[in-house]
Amino acid sequence: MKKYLLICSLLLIAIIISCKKDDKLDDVVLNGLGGTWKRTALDNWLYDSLTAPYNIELKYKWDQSEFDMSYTLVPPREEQVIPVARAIRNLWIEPYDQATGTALFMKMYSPKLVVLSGVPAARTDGAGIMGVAEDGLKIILYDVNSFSKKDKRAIDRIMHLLHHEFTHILNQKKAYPVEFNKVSAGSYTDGWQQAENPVSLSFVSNYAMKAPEEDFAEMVAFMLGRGKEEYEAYLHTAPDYEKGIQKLREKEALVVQYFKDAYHIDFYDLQTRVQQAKKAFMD
Amino acid sequence: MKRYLLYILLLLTFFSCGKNKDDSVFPETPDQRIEKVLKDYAAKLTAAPYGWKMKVIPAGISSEVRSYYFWMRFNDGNRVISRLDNEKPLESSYRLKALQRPELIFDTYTYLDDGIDPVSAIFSAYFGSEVELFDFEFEIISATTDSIILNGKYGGSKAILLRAAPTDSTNSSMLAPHAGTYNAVGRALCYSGPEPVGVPDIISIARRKVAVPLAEDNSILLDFSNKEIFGGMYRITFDPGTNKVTAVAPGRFLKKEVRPDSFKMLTFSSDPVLKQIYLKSSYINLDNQYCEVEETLTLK
Repeated sequence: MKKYLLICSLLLIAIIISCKKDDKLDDVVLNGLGGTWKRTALDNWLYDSLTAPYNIELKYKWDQSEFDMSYTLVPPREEQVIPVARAIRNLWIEPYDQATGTALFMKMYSPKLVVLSGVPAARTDGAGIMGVAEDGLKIILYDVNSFSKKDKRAIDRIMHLLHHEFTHILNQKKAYPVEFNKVSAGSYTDGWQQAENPVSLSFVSNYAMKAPEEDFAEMVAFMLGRGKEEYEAYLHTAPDYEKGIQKLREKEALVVQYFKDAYHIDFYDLQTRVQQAKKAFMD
Repeated sequence: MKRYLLYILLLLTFFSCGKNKDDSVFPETPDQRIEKVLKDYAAKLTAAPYGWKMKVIPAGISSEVRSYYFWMRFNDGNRVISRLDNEKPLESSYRLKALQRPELIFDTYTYLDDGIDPVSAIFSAYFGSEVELFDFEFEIISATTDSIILNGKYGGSKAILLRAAPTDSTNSSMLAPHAGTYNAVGRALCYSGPEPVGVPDIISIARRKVAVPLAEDNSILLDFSNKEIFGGMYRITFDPGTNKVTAVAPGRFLKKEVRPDSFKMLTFSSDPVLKQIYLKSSYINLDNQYCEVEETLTLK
């Protein structure tokens, strides 16, 4: 009886280990997937300027899977890639480096992928989408073919976009105080495009009226991108600005507090640095 | 009983290692085969010494589909130089990639994108009230050393690459030899009624007309003669060997402007050396007037 058991056990063990295979996988080269191409001077420049120092990939070669299929888009012009990359580095990343005193901050928090499209994404309601941030990992910049460093509107737009989207990412990492949502509560609306005078309603832009988190990002983007002077002037040009300005000041204070509490950044210092960078960039 | 169990286990030990290695129909793995096909396409693309003539037929148009000609030369470093009409040569990048099918992707801006770009200054993708759909991402349907057939992936346009001749890169008009701007000289005689009786009004014709290539080979669509209306009016077909006009038909814009079935092509002739076309036609217009139009067109 014991003998049988022993034999049975041995056989079972033999069965179990009999199929151990040490075959190694072949080295399969999947070049067919098309992820490789011969590097050009442009690729090297991008690697040295963004990828190596900041761990950011700037994807300028078309990859349809990065985009919403419902838009008709075209790839960026190659000569536009370096100017846009410079704007990204000089007007967005470097001021944060300086304000935080370390390159680690942007290495840690910046989205790791920036994708470019040549034209804006035209929505059926007539609005053109200029940028999208997805899950703190990726930013899509549209309309890079019309970018020019001599054009203040183009500079303002790309700065607004980068600082707006990056604010969302910062908010996703560390939530802003809920008090912010209460300041303009009741004024947020889906009909944000219709408002004629956002400042009197306590918003820096129409888009800020869409939702509190957009309001927060719009405030940051406006203050950083346009600078203190332009921001102050803008607030006082609108008719009936007194109605909204007090709430705007409350929200401004909460934004400044958030940057201090969450990231130990002096917001006004950051604002000055962004403006210095902007001036240098456009000269 | 237990003995059976033992035998069964014993048998199992012998069969447990039976590996039915599936034999592939093909000697190579799918990845290796894709690799091979793409390498073959890449070799063909880059082998053409004078590049390729690219004929693109956009989608989205229901009739009188136009065609567009580009010149392209691919190198083995993922770079392509392209030309369109008299625009300066533009270098951009391309990639061969295996998705559902092997694809040729123009992955940075080329002249092809001017058909898609809503703010393009080079050409308009609007034709009448319809929009022409173009692509910069193509599926490769087949390839030989002389021609490569492509299908636009998202827009649905069709394209064919034909091995170019030495002069094709510098002489863009050679790509669609009968298309371009013509100087038109002639006259139209319009009578007061539906018959050619009485004294006609004489309208002299002296203007430039644009002829665009159609999707069918050796066919162009020419502006109408005496009407200031946008759109092609005559469809003219040439013999590819002699370059003489073989057929003239009314376009759909002209058909809209005349009484149904009243259009007649009276005579036509052509001189390939002088690049001249002579056309004489008649029709009854919507005001019930008989008109006879004759004109001589010279390609600039």
